[in-house]
Amino acid sequence: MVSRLVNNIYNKIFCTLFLAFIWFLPEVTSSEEKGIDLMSDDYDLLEDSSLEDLESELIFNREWEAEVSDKKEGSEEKKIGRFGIEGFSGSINQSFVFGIEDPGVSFNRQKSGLERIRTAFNFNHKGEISPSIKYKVGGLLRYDWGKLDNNQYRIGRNSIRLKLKDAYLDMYPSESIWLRIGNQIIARGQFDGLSITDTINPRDLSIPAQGELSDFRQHVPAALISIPIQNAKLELILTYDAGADNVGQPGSGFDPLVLFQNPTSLAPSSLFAKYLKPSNPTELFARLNYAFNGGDLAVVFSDENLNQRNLKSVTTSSSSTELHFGFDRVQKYGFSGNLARGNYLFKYEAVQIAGLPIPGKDPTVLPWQKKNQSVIGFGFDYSGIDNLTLGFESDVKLVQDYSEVLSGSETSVGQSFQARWTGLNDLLNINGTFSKLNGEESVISSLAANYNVQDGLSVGARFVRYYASSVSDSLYPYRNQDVIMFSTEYSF
Amino acid sequence: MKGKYQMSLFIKIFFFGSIIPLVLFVVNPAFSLSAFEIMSKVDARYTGESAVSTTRMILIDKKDRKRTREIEMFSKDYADVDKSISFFKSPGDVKGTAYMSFNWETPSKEDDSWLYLPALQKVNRIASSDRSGSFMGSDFTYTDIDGFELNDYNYELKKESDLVEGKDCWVIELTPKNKKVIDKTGYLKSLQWIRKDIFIPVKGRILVKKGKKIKLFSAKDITKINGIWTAKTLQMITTKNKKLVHKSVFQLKSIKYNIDIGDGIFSTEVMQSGL
Repeated sequence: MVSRLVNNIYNKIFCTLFLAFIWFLPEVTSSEEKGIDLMSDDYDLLEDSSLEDLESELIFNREWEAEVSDKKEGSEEKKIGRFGIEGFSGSINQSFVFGIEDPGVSFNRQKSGLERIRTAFNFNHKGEISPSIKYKVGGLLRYDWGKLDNNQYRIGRNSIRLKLKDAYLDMYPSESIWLRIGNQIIARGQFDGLSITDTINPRDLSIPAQGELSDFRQHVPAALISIPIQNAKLELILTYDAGADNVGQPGSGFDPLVLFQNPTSLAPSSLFAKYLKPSNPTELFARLNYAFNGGDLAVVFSDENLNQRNLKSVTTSSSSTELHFGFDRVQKYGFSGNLARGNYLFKYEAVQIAGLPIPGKDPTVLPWQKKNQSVIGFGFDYSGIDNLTLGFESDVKLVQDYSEVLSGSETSVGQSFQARWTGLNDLLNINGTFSKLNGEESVISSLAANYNVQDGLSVGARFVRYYASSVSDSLYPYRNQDVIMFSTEYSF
Repeated sequence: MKGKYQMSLFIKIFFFGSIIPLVLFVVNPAFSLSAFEIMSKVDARYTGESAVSTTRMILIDKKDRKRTREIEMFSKDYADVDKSISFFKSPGDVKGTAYMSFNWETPSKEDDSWLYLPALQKVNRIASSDRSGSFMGSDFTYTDIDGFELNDYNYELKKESDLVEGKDCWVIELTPKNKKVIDKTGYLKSLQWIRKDIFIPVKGRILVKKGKKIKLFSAKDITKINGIWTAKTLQMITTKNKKLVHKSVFQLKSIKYNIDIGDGIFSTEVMQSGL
């Protein structure tokens, strides 16, 4: 008893001192710094020597001097709007991915080892047809140096894939009207880790948390028009054949069919997937955006196909079972916005979804019941600690007219934490994420570091962990897919 | 624009203007001016209604390794707000990045800022006080870029006369009036050398709140372009224990003053579509 009491007191004193130290540290530092003499001649020497270097190496470049001095007074009095040609740009990324654990018999890689070696070449060209019409064309060439075969990654069994990315025209019929037509990404909403109103582009879920940020959203054929209405802007977005979230190939680390092995009695080797086309390939999104001092607000409406394809029917034969996945049409209306206050950026989103299909305890019992669902999200970014930014996001889902036969619960919560630190004048970036999936105990977490070796050249490493403790968690079959990745990227 | 002293990289310092005050004060610049009056003159100087510029930002570490970014910037003064938008043109890993800022004249209004990152193809608002951080890895902060309020500081004339590159200067100490200003800027106090003939800060020493660091600022190659005094080179050196930690140089490549910039350019849509 006595020792426990002493321990408690010790802990409290320690905590108090620790907190006091943290709290007063800036003040202590400040008072020490107040003794510094800013007039000191030592700084003159530093300034002078530094400027001498600059003068000899950088500053008095004759070409630049000429450009500045050639501007005649009173000349160049033309109207400047949007102009210029960005030209070519791109990047080459080389990555190596190692699986740390033994994923199990459902996957091509069943033991720890090399998962993939991939070279990705991104290229873009941006130009203008006239001062009010510009274009951008870009693509991704992805080369896999080998393939998993018989539980071994074999170099030489390569594959190559070319994918169209940005391919659009930007038009400005007037100064304040913007029209973009073509294959594009339209990233909206406030959240980084959760998608509540940001559903225009499907996602790449084939390798969750392992892909490049620029490849996460999938390009869609769309027409976007932005029209000013008093102090607000109305965005109308029409997409056609936007497709669904990209999921893993059969046998890959995140093969979606594996999800249907546990809750059903279907044999793993006899499962096949068939992906159906949507009955209505056109989707409409409308956003009324209003920016005010200290915040943004958008009212949103959409008539869209869910990006996640759901099970529609099952056909069985003596040797195999075919699962048919198709689209569901839903209507959404809601709002999203932010408020900037001091070191905080508060973010919020809310949406009401009409006609959302929800699986039962056994997802192969069809059709799934359609329910209305409310989703409310809140989050904030805090940037008051030097080069560190902390982010938190949470979403709450409420199924209306809930019944016990449905999987999941009536109300479910998900969270996402992020910490981003940049140091050495942006040479080094460290990023940590922790996402607890809504309504589950499943967690995807990652820790990544990226170092800028020189202009345009960086090296990086990332560790991704998948955690699930319950068989009912959607991440459970993938809980042993943890990887460590190494990459290098050259941008031009 | 009055009411706001901006040690602003693009909006004020690059585009030093001095049409109005010279007549009055060059004759006898030291005549009975208080430190606040001097800084008011610095703040009130005419710097053009708008400007379009291309600059090169050079980041140099203590081992003399250099990284270079090229930035195109548009700025325009309105009655109640200064708007600016910047586009990174190179190198490849930051190309397409855009930063937009609205600096309101009303002190009670916090400034608005947005950042567009091409990898995400998304525009994000930046927290109002997230300004003491480094601007794109440079030794300049977002506050240096956007400027800060004249009335946020107490001013003291530390030295009536000091020569900087042969030019007579006042030396003025700026002390933040409260902790909020310190938090916003990340600076505890600073010394500014103000050229008496053209009311331009040509040298500065800044005590940084964290890390026991001191920043050394200098404006070089000041010439008159389109009737507006313009510094073609700006430098910020970060030091610790009187040793170089890192330095950044902004070098003006081209500039056009009083261009008729369309209002539509200051929008999140243009951040996305780029120039």
